[in-house]
Amino acid sequence: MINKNNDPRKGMKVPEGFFDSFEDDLMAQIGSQAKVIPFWSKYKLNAIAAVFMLAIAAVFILKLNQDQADYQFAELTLEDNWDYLLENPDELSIDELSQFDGAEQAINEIELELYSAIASEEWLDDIDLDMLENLDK
Amino acid sequence: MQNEELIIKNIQKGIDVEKGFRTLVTLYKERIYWHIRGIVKTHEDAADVMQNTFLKAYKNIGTFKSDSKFYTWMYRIATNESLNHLQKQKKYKSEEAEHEVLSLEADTYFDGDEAQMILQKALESLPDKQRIVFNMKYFDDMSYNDISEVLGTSVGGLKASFHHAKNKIEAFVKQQSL
Repeated sequence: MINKNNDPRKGMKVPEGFFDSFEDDLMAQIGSQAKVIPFWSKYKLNAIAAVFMLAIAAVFILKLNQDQADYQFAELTLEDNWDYLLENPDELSIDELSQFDGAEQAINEIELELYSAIASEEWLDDIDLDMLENLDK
Repeated sequence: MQNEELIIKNIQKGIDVEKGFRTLVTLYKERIYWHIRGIVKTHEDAADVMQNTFLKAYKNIGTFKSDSKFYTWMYRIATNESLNHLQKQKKYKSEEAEHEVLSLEADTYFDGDEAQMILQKALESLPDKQRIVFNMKYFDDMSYNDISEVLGTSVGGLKASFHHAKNKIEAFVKQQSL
């Protein structure tokens, strides 16, 4: 069997004083690094603050964009976009349409005109009764 | 070691951490150094790996469980750090194992006799894990159970590794003596 005294590590040397100064060198390095505090504990407060600030900033930016969008939309008048709306009647919903300047007034006028005509019953005179009877046939 | 257990428990509780850890380093530095040196070969590499080993031990001592031995825990970190170091080195080196023996001959920190040089060459010819098992069992007189704790390998597997390593080394030494 191999001679145990021939452990090749016995032929290896270390620089003089290496072991004597090792603890000091190591502890100095440990001291220069952060203490043994878990990453999460160390940065928890900073992380919470950062998330909070980001949330506030996100809400602020969203609100700003929303206001700007509303403002731009409100600037468009019904009169200015009438041609466009006639060509693209399905493009906007009633709610969106009502946000145009003057839209509410225009709708009210149309409604008033319509209801007043119905209320007056003058429209009944315009109906051709013979034509209605023929429709059933 | 009762004193060692107490030091570790105190460190884990945050009592005299630096003083206690310094004591543990003093207790284990030489043993750990020679274990690492047997794996990475040159002093410069061994010094770097030993530094990393103790830094890692300091950072993770809170996770050490007293149901295992502290020295096997330290050996485990040292072995993993050494193997990681070798793996990183291999990425940058394409030369064969013989080159490393040549570098050992040129190593100013190696002044072994011819028999030690031949044995070192024989050890170099082994796969890393077989060499580690052989060093721990044959030269450090560690039990298979302790080696098993360090390497996370079964005792049966370790016995087989040691047997193969011993046969390869004997064949290598015989060939060199012819």
